[in-house]
Amino acid sequence: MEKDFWQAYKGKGVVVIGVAVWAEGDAFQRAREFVNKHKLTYTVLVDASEDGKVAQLYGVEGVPTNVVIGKDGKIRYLQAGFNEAGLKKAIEEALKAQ
Amino acid sequence: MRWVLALVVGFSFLAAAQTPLKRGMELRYSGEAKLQQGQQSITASVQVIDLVTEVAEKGQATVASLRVFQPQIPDRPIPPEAALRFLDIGVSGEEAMVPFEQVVAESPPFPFLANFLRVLPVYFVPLDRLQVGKEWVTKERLLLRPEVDGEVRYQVQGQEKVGDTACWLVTRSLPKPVPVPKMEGVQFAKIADSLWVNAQTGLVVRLKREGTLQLPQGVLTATIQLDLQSVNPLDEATFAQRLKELQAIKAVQQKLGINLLQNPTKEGLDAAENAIAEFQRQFKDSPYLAYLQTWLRIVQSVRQRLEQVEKQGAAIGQPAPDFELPTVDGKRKVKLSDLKGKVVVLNFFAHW
Repeated sequence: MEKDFWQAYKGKGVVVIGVAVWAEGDAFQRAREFVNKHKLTYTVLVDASEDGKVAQLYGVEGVPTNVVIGKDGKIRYLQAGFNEAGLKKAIEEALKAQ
Repeated sequence: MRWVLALVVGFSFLAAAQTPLKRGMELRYSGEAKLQQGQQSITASVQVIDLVTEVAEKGQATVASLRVFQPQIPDRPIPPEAALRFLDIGVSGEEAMVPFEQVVAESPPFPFLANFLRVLPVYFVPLDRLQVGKEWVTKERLLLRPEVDGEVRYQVQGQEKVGDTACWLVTRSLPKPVPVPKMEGVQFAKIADSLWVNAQTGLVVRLKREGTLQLPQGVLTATIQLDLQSVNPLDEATFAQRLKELQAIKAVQQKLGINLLQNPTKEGLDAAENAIAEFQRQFKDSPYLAYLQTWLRIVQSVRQRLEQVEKQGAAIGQPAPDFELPTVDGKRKVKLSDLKGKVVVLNFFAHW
């Protein structure tokens, strides 16, 4: 995420946001550890609700799941697992679209 | 590529009345199988329950067998594409082959694994062949669909104990690779079976296999070891009950069908799950329950995948639900709708 997506696209009008869900214990503390460990510089939000309310909004059932939202605020891509090529393609297409 | 590498069946001995197999006898084997292709490998524990339904002249037998696979794939659901073929095969014997009708009900974790596993062709070796240096070649059906017949060579190597049981070690191999017709680049490169045969009864008590199948994309190697756990002559009532159960399993198979798993529908999955549940209700004490449980797991995994795809597919093109969440340092909040006009990538993750 950090290098191939955030660093690669941040200058092009793409915002990468990590959403930490389903943490055990102190959700913020766990997320901080993760951010520090991987030296993440993009925005990381914490969904501390036990059942992962935001994840539920998007029908996320497993992690990682990546979502691409277009400039118009509509969902363009939603996929469980990490499909680097598919995600890149979705981002490129979203950038091209009006 | 959808095709069925079906079983290798039939012990092709014309063994005059020497079979230790009897109608109503149940043989249970268990063991482990490993399949490897390149860097990928998978192991599965395997249970086999074979029921001898008929013993004909010359020691020929009809065996109904159930193979239960318990795949051990850590942290991975059973991939549906690997999950399923349900076969219902009746094989008639040809020439030296033993008529072998089986209710092959399989739920392989990987099709090829199953194909190699189904290769438990030899249940016994006639006692008069168990002499050092004895060798014979038979023509056996290596695959059912497509039909592949190949020569198989047996060689008695010598005596060896399995536990406390005096056994003969017999090897079974292909004198030459056997091509699989209509499938370019596919051939049985090697089958190296070792059979430990009980010196007193002729029953195979341990089978070890190393098989390689040459595929266009590489070599697939399977190793399997199965050990005979028990031989139980069933009483008439139990035997009748088992036959009834096998018939019921056949009915369940028909509900499941390969199409359902390749092109799942909610209705089809419901019907399959109901059929399995019905079996579980009706046959509470069946030794085949573990087998049905494996199927259930597969059906559920297919359903989960289907629901997820449907849900996520439905989300595409819809407005992204808005939310507001605090940042990891707790210092500010981010509202999704404030980012309108930008392309936003949400990466849901969890860290335990």
